[in-house]
Amino acid sequence: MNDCKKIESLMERALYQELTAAESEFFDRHIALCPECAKDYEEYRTIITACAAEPRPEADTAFMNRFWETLAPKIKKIEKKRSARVHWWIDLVHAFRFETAWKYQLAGGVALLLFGIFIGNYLKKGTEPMHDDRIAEQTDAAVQQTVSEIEALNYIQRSKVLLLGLMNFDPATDDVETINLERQKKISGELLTKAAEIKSVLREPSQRQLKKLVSDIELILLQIANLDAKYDLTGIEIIREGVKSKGIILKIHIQEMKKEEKKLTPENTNLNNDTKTI
Amino acid sequence: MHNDTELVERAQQGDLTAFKELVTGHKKMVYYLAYDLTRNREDAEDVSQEVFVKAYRSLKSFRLDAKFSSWLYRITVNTCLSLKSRKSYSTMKTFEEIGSSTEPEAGEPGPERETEFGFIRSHVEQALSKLSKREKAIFIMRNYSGMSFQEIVEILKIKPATARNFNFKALRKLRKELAFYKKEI
Ligand SMILES: [Zn+2]
Repeated sequence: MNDCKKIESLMERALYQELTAAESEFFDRHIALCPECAKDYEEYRTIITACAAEPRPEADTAFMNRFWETLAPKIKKIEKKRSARVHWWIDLVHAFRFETAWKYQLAGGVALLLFGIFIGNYLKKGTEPMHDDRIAEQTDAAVQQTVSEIEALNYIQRSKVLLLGLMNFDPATDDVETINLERQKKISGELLTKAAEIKSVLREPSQRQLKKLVSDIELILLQIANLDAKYDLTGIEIIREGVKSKGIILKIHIQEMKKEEKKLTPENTNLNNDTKTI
Repeated sequence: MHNDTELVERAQQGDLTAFKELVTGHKKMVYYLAYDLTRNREDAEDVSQEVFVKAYRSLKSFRLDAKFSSWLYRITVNTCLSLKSRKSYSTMKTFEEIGSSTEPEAGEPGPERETEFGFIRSHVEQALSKLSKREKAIFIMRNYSGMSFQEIVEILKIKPATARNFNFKALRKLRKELAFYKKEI
């Protein structure tokens, strides 16, 4: 390598006074003799010195003094949103108080989901540093997606309990009173009001199947809601046939299994990608 | 006076006074870095507020073995990079604005030299817009904010060689852009 090439490779560190004594000596000696390299060095130095010498105006005192006052309402807003998320869980638990068997089944489901979230967060913490706002946004998006899926699953599980009640009903031996059609209709109505909203937040391609199932169930719920209050055995039979032919119970089980699998897969939580950020 | 680690730990557990103390301790540094990067006061003010909102939102994900200030700086840089504002990072100041903000300061390098620097800087400002956002951010952090490469590496979580390469690439580009004015300089 000729000397000018060597100088070029030392240039960057020379500009920031980071050369070793030996390198520095070589550098200075060459610069003194080579006008080309001397010119390079001088021009770079001028730019660096000019930038470093820029006077930086003081921050506005009034702005700095009321910095916290301006920030505090924004922080409160975040807190409010957070507690709203917690309320969502409380509402969910309250929604399932009506029957013991359901309560246990659903409490189990919810516990599993919470455990999944816990595992997800735990794995996330275990990965390398990811402290930055963009990742925070990604995390928010992931949380949003997860929340919409949890809501969908909640809807599906409630519907499942309802449908199983109908499927297990045997008109030959069971009294129509035992399935409490009035309440089934009421719950169907409640679930129907949520279906549209749930579908609207399932936008990801990976959620397509889930969304389809939500729609299929919606149709069945509509039929249930439209049953005659008391002895609509024909209606019940039609619904049972619909549920069977569409394999809805099986699909529900598949979605439930998928959800649990997803919750425990570390890849879903690995948002670490430092080099991409900048 | 509490140290950052202790304050962050308390803030993570929901102690708002601890978070307030962190804000008080770091607001100026964040503001000045935002100012260097955005080159204007309004954006720097908006960004510095936003940085603490984001920090609060993801405070729980902050790991205590890292430096809190580096984390805040990182949020600051990323916020500036994604800034789309009235006077944004990419649409540079006009010459008139630069002229009025680079009046020579008494005492410092001497009025004549400072005027020359001001002149160069006004062209650097223009030339900066030719750089990629990353190059510009690293160049500004090193040459305007006076951060060492070690600090930049810690903040941006990039390799030292990457920081140096970006900076020198920026410097080379600037020099090329400025070649046009060389005779005047
Ligand atoms: Zn040479």
